Formats: sequence, C-alpha cells, structure tokens
Amino acid sequence: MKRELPMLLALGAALLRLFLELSHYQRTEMQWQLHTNQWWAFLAATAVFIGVINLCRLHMHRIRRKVAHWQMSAWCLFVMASFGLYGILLKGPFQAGNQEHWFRWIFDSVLQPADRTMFSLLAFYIASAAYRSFRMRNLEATVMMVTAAVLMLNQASIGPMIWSGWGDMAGWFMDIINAPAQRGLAIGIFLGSYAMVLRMFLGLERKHLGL
Amino acid sequence: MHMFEGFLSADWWQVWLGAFFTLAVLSFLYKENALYRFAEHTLVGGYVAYRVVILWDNTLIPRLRDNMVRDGQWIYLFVLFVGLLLYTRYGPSQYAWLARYPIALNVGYFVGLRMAMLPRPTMVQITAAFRNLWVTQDGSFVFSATVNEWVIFITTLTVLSYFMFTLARDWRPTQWSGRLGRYLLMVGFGASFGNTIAGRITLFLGRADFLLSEWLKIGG
Amino acid sequence: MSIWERFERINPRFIFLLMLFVLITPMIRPIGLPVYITPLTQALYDWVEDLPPGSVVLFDSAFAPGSASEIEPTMRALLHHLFQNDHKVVMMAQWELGAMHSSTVLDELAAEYGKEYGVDYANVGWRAGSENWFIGLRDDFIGGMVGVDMSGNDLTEMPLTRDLAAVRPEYFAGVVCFASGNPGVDDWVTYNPNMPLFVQATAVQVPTYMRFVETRQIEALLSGQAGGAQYEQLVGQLGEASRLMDPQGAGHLLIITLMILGNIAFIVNSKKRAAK
Repeated sequence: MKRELPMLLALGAALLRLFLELSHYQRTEMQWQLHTNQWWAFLAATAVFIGVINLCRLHMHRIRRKVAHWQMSAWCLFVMASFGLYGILLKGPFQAGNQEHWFRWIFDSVLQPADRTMFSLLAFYIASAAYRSFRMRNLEATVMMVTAAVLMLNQASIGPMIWSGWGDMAGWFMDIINAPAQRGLAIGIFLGSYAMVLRMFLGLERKHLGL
Repeated sequence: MHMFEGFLSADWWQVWLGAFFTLAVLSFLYKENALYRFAEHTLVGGYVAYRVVILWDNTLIPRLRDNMVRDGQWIYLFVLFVGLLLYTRYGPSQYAWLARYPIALNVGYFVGLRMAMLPRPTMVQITAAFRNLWVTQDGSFVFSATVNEWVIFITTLTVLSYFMFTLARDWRPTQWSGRLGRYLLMVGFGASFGNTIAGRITLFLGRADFLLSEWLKIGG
Repeated sequence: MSIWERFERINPRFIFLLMLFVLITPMIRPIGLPVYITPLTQALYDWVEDLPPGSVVLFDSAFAPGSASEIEPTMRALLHHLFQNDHKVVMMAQWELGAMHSSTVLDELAAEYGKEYGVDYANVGWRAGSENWFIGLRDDFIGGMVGVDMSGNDLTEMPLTRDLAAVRPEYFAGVVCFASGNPGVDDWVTYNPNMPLFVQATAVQVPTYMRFVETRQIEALLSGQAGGAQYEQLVGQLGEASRLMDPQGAGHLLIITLMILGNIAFIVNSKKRAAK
C-alpha cells in the first residue's frame, strides 16, 4: 500500500498517457479520453492551498520566534488573507470576482508596480558587474563578450549607424552560429532529459515519491 | 507640474500607490530597508492570494458547480478526494504516505506525456542539422550560401561532440572538435548574455518611464 | 593607488547613479535613434495583413508583470493592428499573472476601438494543470477552459467562443505567444505543433528560440523592446517601446564602456601585481 501501489499508479498513469497520445484515437468519438486531461488538470488544481499552507507555516514560525522584522511576516499574512478573502467573497464564493474593478485596481496599483520594479533592479546589478566581473580572462570569455557587444550595439540601432553592414553581421552571428549551437545544445539536453524520463518510467528513479 | 491633477481620485491613488511601491523597491539599491521589506512582503502575500482567487474562480468552482453538480460528472468528486490526500503530509506523520498517491498519479501522467511528445520537436531539429553542403542556384554554384551551410553543419556537430563522452577524450580529433564546439557555444552564450543586458535595461526603463511620464508628468 | 586600482574598487552606488543619469537624460531629451525593421518582425506584420477578415487570433500571455516592459509594447501595437483590420482576439494565459496583466491591456485597446466583449474579443485566462491543461485544449477548448471565461461567463453563450471547439488551425488563424520563459514557447512547439506560432519573447529568450525559426516551428520572432519598437513603427502607433529606444541605446553604450574600462583595469592591475 505504501510503496508498491504508488509505483503501480505512476506506471499506470504513464501507460494511459502514452496510449492516449500514440493510439491515434478518434477524438470526437471517445469522449472519456478527451476528459482524462481535464481530470488530471483538476488534480493539480486541488494543490492550490499548498502555497498558502507553506507561507503560513514559514511566517507563523517567524512570528512565534519573534525573529527580526517579524512584524513584516504578520503583514504578509494579513495581505494574503485579506486580499484572498476579498477576491473570493467579492461576488459571493460561487461567482468569479477576479475581474471586478477593485480587485483589478489593487492588482494594478500594488502588485504590478512592485513586481515590475523588483525585476528592474537587475539592470543596476548588471551595470556594476560589467566593470567588476566581465573579464576577458581567456579566449572563450573574449568570444562571448565580443558577441554580446556586437548584438547589443545592433539591438539599440547604434551598430547599423556606425556601419551599414552591422545588422547583417549581427544576423549572421544569430542565424549561422547561434542557432545551430543552440540546436546542438537542445539535442544534448533532450538526450539527458529523455534518459531521466525513461528512468522514472522504469521505476529506477523514485525520489519524487519519497522512496 | 500636474502631479496633483485629479487629487485623491481613484486614478490619482493608483498612480501614487504605484509610484510608492516603485520607489520602495528601488530604495533597495541604496541598502536593504524597512520600505523595501514592506513592498516585498506585500508582493508575496498578494501573489499567493491572487493565485488562490484565480484558481478558485476559474477552475475549482466551475468544475464543481457546473461539471459535477449541474452536469453530474461525479468523477470530479473522486479526483478532488485523491487530490486532497496531498494535504496528509501536513497531518499526523503515520498518514503522510497517503500523499504519494496523488503525486504518483501526477508524475506518472507527466512521464507518459513527455515520452510521447518530447521526441517529435527534437526530431525536427535533428533533421535541420543535416545540411545541403553544395548550394546551387539556377545550376550555378553559390559560394556564400555554401560557406554558411558548412558553418551551420560544423557548429551543430562540434557542439554535440562537446557533450559526447563515449568517444575517447584523449583522441586528437575529438579533442579538437570539442574545443571548437566550446568556442562556437560561447557565441551562443554571448548572444544570450548581450540580450540579457538589453532585457534588464528595458525592465528598468519601463519603471523610469512610469515615474517620469505618469507620476511626475515630465518628458515623454 | 593608481586610477585603475581605484576604478576597480569604486563603490557600486556611484555606478548606479551614473546608470540612472545615462538612462534618464535621453528620456527627457530624446536623440532620435532610428529603428530598423528585422525580417522576423516583418513576418508577423505580413501575416496579419494577409489574414482573411474576421479571423480569430489566439493570444497567449506567458509572462508576469516583471517582464511586461519588454512584451507589452508589442501586445498593444499588435492589438491596434488586429482591431484596425477587424480581426477577433481570444486571450489565454499560460502564466497566471499574465492573465490579469493582459486583461487590462486588452480591455483598454478594445474600448479604444469600440469592440464588444464576447463578439470581437474574449479573455479566457489561465487554468491550473500546466501541460495537462494545455494539451487538453488541443482536443477540447471549452471543456479545458472549464466552460467559462475569466469573469465566469459561459463560453457556449458568447458568439465569439461558442464554436471554438479546439485549439487547432481550423478554429484559430494562429497563436501569438508573449513569452518570458517556461511554460511558454516550448509547450506550443512540443504539445501543439500544428498551430501557426508567432512569438514576442523577452530578449534573453530569443537566442534559444532562433533554432525554431529556420525549421518553421516559429513563424515570426520579436525580440524584447526592440521588437516592440519595430512593430509600433510598422503599425504607425508609436508608443512606449519607440520612446525608450534612445535610453536603451545609451544604456548599452554605458555597459560596453564599463566592460572595456573594467578589462583595461584588470590587465593593468594584474601586470602591476605580477611585477611586484
């Protein structure tokens, strides 16, 4: 029950999916096959509260221990509870409220600018890394930096202003060297990940089940 | 200055709240501080709540209300039950193993899906690695296109050889091809690197543009 | 201490300030750098131009607000283009945050052109279930979307969506994926390869997607803000991306200058250290 059954369930689910995809079934005639994807999608949806539970456990722990800035943890839980309940109860629990004006207003006024700015900080860190870490220590690093510079000047239209052939040169780097290099990389990654998938299929890999 | 146009209206508040959170996060560039922490915790709490709301509204409720109760597809009750077993890992430890069932079903299904679907797009890529190494147009030989085809062919091959560990590493040809592959791979990484810088600058420009043109209403 | 040694030890906050100055100056005083249209941007424009009137185009928001500055300009310009040519848009999202962000953009543009919800455009949003949900749409669009749009309206009651049985070329003219990572373009290429796929990606993703261009797994590929600026030019709706190309260029020049100076400092200082 604890070990073999989960393994059998995983194998069964994998075989079912393989059969559905490879059997070329008449999709419109066999409704139940259409629905299996929806059942599995719903199964994933039931995990919705995992994030909530994890966040609560983390911040409750901080609040109980009164670690530095524990007040922020309380604020985080308050935001989560109030915004979440507001969204769910806005039009009653059985009607969708996420497109109502004020729910969207909060998203657009608070979450959206904060998230966008969070990522924009990276611009500054890359500037400070540019003079401290981007070193041409060897030929590989030099090739990488030069390509990066050629493409950056091209992206911002400065390259083509210096020399009319710049765009073609950048395009050549992208299409003739970058694309096949990425292709080789992708084929290599495919081989690795497919080997992993096969190991899971054959039951050689069981870490995800905690076995 | 028209910063106070429509003072205290909903739109005015929206811009000012946006500016507040933008500046609060940017203040991190000077050093970690209370304003930044406030914005960060608001964001995390808000996002988890948003995800729950959108899942509740668009997946859980319509499946249970429409498909299960209205249309009588009671299988969703069973799926819900199996899904809820996932939460046993938060309960008494003697029941925690029950969480393996939904995980096994989910992972198994993904494995089958990947086994069936991953090879196809890769095969398209492998096919594209075979090149026309003697390009002609209207019966005459085209030099530049032929060179490009050779470069593409050699790049794919040498990059692949860089990842091949079956061939002897101390054999000269594999050493050379692996080394060439590494340099060509660096062109690819250089492209990603240059584009990363471009992208990150853009992300900040978006915020600067918001502060200048929407909040302070200057420039633009 | 020599000037190069000082340069290597400079407080990053000065660089931040310099960066801020370099980026903001051209925003207030634009230089007017030209924008060059690439064939991969032109391909998207030409495709829209050649669409038969009343075509239904599927938008896929596979990004979060964090990358919106790179992606939103193209979304806006493309919506201008599609609505001007009387095409219809259905918006779905592989990222839950993209669903909400894009609904604001879609509603704004639809209102500008007087488009009617449920007839000319619809917003179906995001669903849980990742690949299982996604691949299910290939066979059953309405069932996979649990029969409702983001606001909970019945998809079978809206004129635009009631006949959209599946995400296949018979029902949608093509899909435009606004991508900033996974899930995103790879899901379309892997799980629904028959759909004509057009991509606006964050700049960092573009090199890895280039391999799909030659094989026609992707029909058009627009790169970050530059892609947005190009599309704005093509459609004649200059917006954020066109406005910000000047500071973008200034930023690139600054970073390249810093890289060059940093390397000179590195060479000079390591020679000095070796001499000691």
